[in-house]
Amino acid sequence: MTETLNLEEIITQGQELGVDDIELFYEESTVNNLKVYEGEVESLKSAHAKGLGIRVFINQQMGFAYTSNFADGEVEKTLKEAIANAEVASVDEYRTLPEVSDEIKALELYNEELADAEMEDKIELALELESAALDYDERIAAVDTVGYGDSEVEIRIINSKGFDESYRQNQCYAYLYVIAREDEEAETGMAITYGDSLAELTPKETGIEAAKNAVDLLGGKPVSSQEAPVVFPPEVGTMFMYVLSQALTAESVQKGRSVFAQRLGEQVASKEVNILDNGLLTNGLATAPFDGEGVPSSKTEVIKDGELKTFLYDTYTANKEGTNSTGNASRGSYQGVPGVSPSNFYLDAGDKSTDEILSSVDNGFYVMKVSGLVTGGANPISGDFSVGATGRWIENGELTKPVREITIAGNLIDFLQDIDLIGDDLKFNPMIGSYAAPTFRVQKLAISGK
Amino acid sequence: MVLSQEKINQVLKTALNKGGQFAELFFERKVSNQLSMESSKVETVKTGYNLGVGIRVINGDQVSYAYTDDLALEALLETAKVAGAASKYHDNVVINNLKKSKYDSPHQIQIRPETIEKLKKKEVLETVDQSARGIDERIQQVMVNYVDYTQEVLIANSQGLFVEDERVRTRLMANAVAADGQIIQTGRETPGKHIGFELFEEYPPEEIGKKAAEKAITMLEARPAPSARMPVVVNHGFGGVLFHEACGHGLEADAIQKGSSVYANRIGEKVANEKVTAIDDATIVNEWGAFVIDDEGHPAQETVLIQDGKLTDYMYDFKTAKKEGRESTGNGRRQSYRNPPIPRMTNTFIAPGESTPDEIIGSVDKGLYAKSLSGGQVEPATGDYTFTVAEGYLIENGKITEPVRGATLVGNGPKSLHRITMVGNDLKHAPGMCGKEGQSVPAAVGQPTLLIEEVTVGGTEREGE
Repeated sequence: MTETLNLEEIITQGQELGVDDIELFYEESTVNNLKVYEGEVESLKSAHAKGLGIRVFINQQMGFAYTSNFADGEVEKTLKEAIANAEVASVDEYRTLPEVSDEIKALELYNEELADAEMEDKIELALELESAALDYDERIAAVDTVGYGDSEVEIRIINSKGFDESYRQNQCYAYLYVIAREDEEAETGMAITYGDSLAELTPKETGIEAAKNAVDLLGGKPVSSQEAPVVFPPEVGTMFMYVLSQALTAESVQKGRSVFAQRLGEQVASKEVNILDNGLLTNGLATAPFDGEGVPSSKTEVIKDGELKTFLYDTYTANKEGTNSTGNASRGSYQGVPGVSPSNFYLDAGDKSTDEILSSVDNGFYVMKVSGLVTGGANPISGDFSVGATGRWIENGELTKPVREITIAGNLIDFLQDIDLIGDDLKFNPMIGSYAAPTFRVQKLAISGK
Repeated sequence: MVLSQEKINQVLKTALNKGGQFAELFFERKVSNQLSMESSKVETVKTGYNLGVGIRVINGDQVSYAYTDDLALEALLETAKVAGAASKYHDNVVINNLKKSKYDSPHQIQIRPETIEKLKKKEVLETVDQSARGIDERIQQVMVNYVDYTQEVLIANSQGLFVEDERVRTRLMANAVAADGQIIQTGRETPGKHIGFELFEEYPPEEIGKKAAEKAITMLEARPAPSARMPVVVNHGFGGVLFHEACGHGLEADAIQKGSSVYANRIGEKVANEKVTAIDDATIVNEWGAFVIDDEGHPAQETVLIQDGKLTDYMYDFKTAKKEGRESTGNGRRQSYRNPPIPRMTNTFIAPGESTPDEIIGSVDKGLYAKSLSGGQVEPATGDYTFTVAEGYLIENGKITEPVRGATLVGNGPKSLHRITMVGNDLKHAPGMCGKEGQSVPAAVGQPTLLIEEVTVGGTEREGE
């Protein structure tokens, strides 16, 4: 049967081998995925996996090794390899384990109902997504991919400073990509729904949303080059949150890779703008009691009323500046070492409805897709960005003709300072990570088209 | 051997208990090493031990997949049961006796990574770092990442197949960042092969650092690229990423069968200029995307996709081939035991032609020479692409003149294939990691120097500059 590990014993073993400090990151996960195609189940995947990451500190040098093999002698081999790796790493006085906190909150992140959900119901849900998209419009040529997935993860961190905590969480999601065709034109549309239980997913609405996204954009043409107000729905606003978050980590700032370096305390955004990182957010996608090295999760006001208040820190970057970690160490899985990364990162909701925002625009652009933004279209150091965009034109407060093959360009700081209307529809975009944004308007951006 | 033949038989039998048509076991053991340097410090030294088994059951059009990292017999049987659970009763499936096949590997590994001291690997990082910093004082940051891995796989299926393979890959990624006031430019060099530590005999670390730094400095001094439709000469090597992304994915059989590719139902048709022949070839000795057998146990092969402009074949895995009653082309690949195989490219390239690079550049009056490309994005349904030129130069009167920065190539893959009017004789391959359906696999791209007679170049030049 499955080998069970005695983690305390591994800590002791490490100490006997001469480490100054040692940390174990244990992860156990169960995943289920399925895809349907043309009314039939195309693929099913399910698995149970586990793994252990070992981080050791010797003479201010850090080494790391991981294994998914717990057979006799394997964990010991991994421990010794981590120690051998430490001997090659550079000496760095700031590489330490965090001090142990007793402020770890117990959070309810596990839903029994999801754990007990039947396979048939999951298949049914995916089929419903597919048919909702196909039924929406005859120009929907194909539903290229319809997927459902759920995951359950249990994480335990234990270290030689006396930290020993764990949590368990589960989530589910469903998504689809559709292709719409008319004459020689083709457009793709996608949408995703997620939640803590099957009941929270909205297959019908999400299927229609993907189909609508594709059909609405068919036959798009470039508009002429101009400066105009641009409205960002959550699906696209979240991509800008991703880019901003990368420039707002202490790691980027310390390594000279951020447009926000040297700007603490400055008004970097309009007064309406509040940007938060909150690892404790109820129903957040990245909510957890502690971060990837055992520091309690917390709520951090990064930009408050437009003023840059702080950056995001893990223990290493905080040590470098003599400050405290904001609980933003993240490690992807047991296979990774901690690095600074946002938890639930979002532009806080305002009080405007989406309709109010749209109707405020006489002549402007509603951007539904951007390309190239997260693959190098934004320069985090200068803040300049230029991305391909697809969407619809807004005339007299109404969405009108589809627009494609244009680029929108600007600077991240100007972008933040020109946000003047913020919606009340805060929404996550799981395709990009744990980033959320409401609909918002940017007063003006450079659009280049024909 | 960790798994005995008897154990494997038992697992396959259990997987087909409920009536699936085909069962397969994929065993993987992989040891990986990674060292990374930034700010002249070795920041991360990491070793990974991966071990697991994936079990696939195919029943008609349906695939079920389950995996485990526990090799105890009970755990394997339980995983097989899960994979087989969704199958409905079919005719009694005969499980053939496992018959071991052996293939000799042409990919000789001279210096196995595990025989190299960690300190030697660290020296590679230090050499790259110092050589890049030594080029110019405007080099402000150097990031270097060394990766090697040894992956053993064993594949057995209910048709009696039973094969093993070992893949050893080594790669170095160097990024040099040059800065001058507000202008920041990055130069990249990323050699990698299905090879051991002898990679550095072909690519000495000093050279890698120097080249990356020189690229960054050249681009720092470049002026903004103009915007216009113009002829573009794409340099050999990584330029092949354009074909890979904008056309290659459309030639994978799953996209064809779903009708999501512009190349569906077009075998025999002219899809490119007659100068263009495109090939996927997993047999190229020691190339990055090479292997002896694919991740379904099918021997590596060469597949001609486009011959003299005519579409000749697609890339198939076992399942897509079965659907058409034909043989796989050996393109069934997966990221690890945690993923089912799907059709993927291996080493995909445009075959060499007759022209010399000088003749190609000499034929252009006014155009762009894209010496190296960085990333790009492609709309799969249409083949519309946007690629960033990492290192570009103007061509004026048949000569390469000054460097330009910030150029992007905007176009449509299928249309651009018709516009390739000159193909060079200097084929070169380059490594990359190819992502599809959340799975990342090593794949090489490649091409000789070639001319696309008209592409939209989006530059950053503004009026008055």
